Amino acid sequence: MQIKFERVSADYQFGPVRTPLVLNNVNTSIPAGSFTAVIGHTGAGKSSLLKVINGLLLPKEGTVRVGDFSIEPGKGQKGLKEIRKRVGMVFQFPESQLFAETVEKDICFGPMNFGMSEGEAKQKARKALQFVGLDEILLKRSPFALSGGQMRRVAIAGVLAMEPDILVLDEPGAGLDPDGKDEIMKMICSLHKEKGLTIVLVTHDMEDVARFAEDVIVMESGKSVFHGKVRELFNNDDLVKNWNLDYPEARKFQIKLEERLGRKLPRLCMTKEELAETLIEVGLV
Amino acid sequence: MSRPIIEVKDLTFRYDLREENDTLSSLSFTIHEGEWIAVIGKNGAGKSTLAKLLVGLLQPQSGKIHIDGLELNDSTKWEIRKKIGIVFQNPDNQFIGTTVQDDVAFSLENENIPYREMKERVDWALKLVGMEEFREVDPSRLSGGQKQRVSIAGVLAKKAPILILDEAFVMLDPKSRNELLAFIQQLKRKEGLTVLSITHDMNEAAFSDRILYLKNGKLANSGTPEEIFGLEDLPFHPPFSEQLRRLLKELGRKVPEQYMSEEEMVDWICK
Repeated sequence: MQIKFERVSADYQFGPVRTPLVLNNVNTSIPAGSFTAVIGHTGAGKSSLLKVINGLLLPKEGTVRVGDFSIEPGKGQKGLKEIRKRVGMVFQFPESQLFAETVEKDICFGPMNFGMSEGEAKQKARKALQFVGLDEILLKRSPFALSGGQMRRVAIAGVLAMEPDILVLDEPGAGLDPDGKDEIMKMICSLHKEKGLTIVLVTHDMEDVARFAEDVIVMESGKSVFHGKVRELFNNDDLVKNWNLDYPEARKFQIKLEERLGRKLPRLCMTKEELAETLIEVGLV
Repeated sequence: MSRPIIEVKDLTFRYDLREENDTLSSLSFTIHEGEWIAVIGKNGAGKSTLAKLLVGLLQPQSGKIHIDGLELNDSTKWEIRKKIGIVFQNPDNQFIGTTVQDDVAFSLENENIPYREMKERVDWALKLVGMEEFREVDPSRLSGGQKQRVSIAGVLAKKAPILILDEAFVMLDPKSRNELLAFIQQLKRKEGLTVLSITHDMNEAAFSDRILYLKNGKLANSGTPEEIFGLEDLPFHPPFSEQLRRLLKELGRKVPEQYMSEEEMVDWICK
């Protein structure tokens, strides 16, 4: 399902007070079935961009199109339910949203809220739990008796049980140990590859961007200042410097090495595998 | 060596007595004034539990904690908490003020710091974390990373001699993370700040003088970053140069057997 931002601006309103624009004339589109990373500094509008996709933040100007549905100012809450059924949203620290007495009830809450029968929801819960790599035994346990990594997976399972077409995630690996994080990232990757889900991922980790994402959006002061292939971004030193971004480790190493060698390697290396292969190919190791 | 500031002896803790294993079992270590200690380990190894025990948010089943010479117990915990600033992983768990500056000032108000000094310290801390423009803003309106900055500012403003960071930088972009770490290192050097940072980030652990590696509630290993980073079994990915070295070895290339820093690796490739 495609997501299209047409000149979208948004701010937050608290009583009579309005904030400065958190999204400022965002004009871009995320193709169906793509894996897009959203990067940029804290407060650049990354989380806000995610929120307008399912109407948690309504645009002040412009239109957000999700498949055939649209979110526009003045349209109110109409159609949002349809959109929210299709856009699964995983927030920062999603485990803080867990609330039910059992893992099963927690996972079933979303699907039942969207009109699924209890039996069907339970079936989906089982499937979703399996997909996030947790044992069925946990279904009857309290979500609060689980470890941090397990809680996070339960929270993600609750979103997957709704069988969304688009999965939007805000730093899903934050605070997990590297193994736990790897597992979550691989799981997201297989949702993308096997089930064809459109993934939009906010992250600060350039390794994730390099390893998993196809496209990347750079947010800066509420604007989308770059939207293109990951390779294109990391191949352009001016862009990376301009937006104060970081390179993936392999690329950093490559730059150091090229400086010392006084010549360039034949291609851009974003992962250690690529770098090792290239070093072997040119006979340096 | 300077004087010990955190002394932990035979610390054992279990959340639920029905559980089979202790969350922490017979943990002992000493941290000296002005040291930077990184605590590493997988999720569930007991790192955050240790932080909560050190400030008396949890009571151990057995064992003793001394902070700056004082034994931690119910009657000393308030005195001890004045000496420690702690930043938790999820900043939403520690907001109190209705504006950013009130929140940063909260612990100072608690300690009856005179208004002028309080204002100076709040200004100083907000500037450090790059949040001075947001001083009048309601913290709940900030982004995740901005919230994390504010909670760091609150703890820095307190100017406690011990700083505990529990995954305090996970929502910051890599540049700001390094800037803040470098600043804390400066405080450590100039003012003898003691730092205990719980982290999954190797770059953060690299700032430390000594690493404590927890495994299933026990101290599995401790040593300098160089010593620890060479271990085969680490709770985080080894440094990039080490990853590359192992991969090249797997691919059947002749590589040196020992750990090489990035510079050494570049030297070796350019040999």
